Amino acid sequence: MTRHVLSHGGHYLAAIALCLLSVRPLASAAWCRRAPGLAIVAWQALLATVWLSLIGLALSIAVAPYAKGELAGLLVLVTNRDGLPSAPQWIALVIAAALTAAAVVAVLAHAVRSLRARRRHRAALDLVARVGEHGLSIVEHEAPIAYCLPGSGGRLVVSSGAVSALDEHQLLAVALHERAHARERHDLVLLPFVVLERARLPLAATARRAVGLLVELRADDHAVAVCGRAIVRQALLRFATSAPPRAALGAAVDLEARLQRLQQPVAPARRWHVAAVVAVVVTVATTPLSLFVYPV
Amino acid sequence: MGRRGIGELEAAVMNVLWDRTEPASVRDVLAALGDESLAYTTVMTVLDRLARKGTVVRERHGRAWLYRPAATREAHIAQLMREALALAEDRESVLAHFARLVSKDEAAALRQALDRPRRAP
Repeated sequence: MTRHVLSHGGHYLAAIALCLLSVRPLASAAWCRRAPGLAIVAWQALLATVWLSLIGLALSIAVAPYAKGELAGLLVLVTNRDGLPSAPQWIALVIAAALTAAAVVAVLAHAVRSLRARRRHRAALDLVARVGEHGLSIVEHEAPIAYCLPGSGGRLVVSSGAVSALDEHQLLAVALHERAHARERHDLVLLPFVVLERARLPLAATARRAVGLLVELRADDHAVAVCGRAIVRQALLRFATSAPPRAALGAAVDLEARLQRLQQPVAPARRWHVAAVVAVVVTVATTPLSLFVYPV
Repeated sequence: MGRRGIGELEAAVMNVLWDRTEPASVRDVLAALGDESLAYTTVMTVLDRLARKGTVVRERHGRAWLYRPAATREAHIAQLMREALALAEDRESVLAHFARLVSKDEAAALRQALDRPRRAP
């Protein structure tokens, strides 16, 4: 029994520690900017591993007496094949269930809120938008604004201020960038990280910022593939700096990183590098999963 | 004009109201839309929906109801764009902006930073 907790629990703890320690290095790793798609997968694997390991840790205590994998142990426990579980087992089981439920509920609640906000915004938008080229919804407004409302029945929105600040190639770059956000559902990619940040969990803000930048790089890459770096860069610079005096302003950190990256060709990630990342991600991410199945 | 989606019809009705200076009755809106396939009750339903959402204001005038926009077209757009920016500031994943706007000072600093020769990677 102690052996089970030590071996399984130890593995879960090690996986959690490893993931938490790699948050900062991953956020600043140079290869992430070369392969943003792969980096996004690495972040998702990291998050899933921490979550599954926390649940696994609690479960391993709950099913410790049976010396089986967590899932098989759980089956023994719920069927009472080995007599009624003890109080510590119950507590551990409740913690595992609470961890699972909390994450699912938080993500669903946030998803529903976003969905409502989007639907409301879209209804108000459709009263005044006209459909222009590239399927863009154009709104008469002097400030340069461009955004995508993701989801089914989504919209790519630009203000007339943005249209007049950009030439036709630059406008196409904006449209392609936004369409990439919509098509790859970057809102869903960001969703769990936003939920964590709102819960004020440690390191969550770092992770959310990193993933936020990665989806922008990914969308920039889609625009670059069609328009070329120079046009995307010009579009970005023109767009961001053509703000009227009283427009709402945001941080320029991401903007600078994106502009820097568009200055020279992005060297594709080295092959051994990709292989190494994939190997590490697969190893770490399968740790909790394998412990769910294998005994001791 | 054939059958139209409810959203498209709402937009058309709002454009009629925004283009007028006076409040309009259902009949006025129907006439201005100039679509013979459109039923009186359809326009009435659309106006009631818009009133419920607070987009138009309904007031009684003798035996008829008159409708006017709750805000001018410009105010509606300004509110919409404010909301779009606010949703981004919340760091929610409700919508994705192309880029944040930066101030003149920040723009100058940004240009300067970009002009600096970069360290070789």
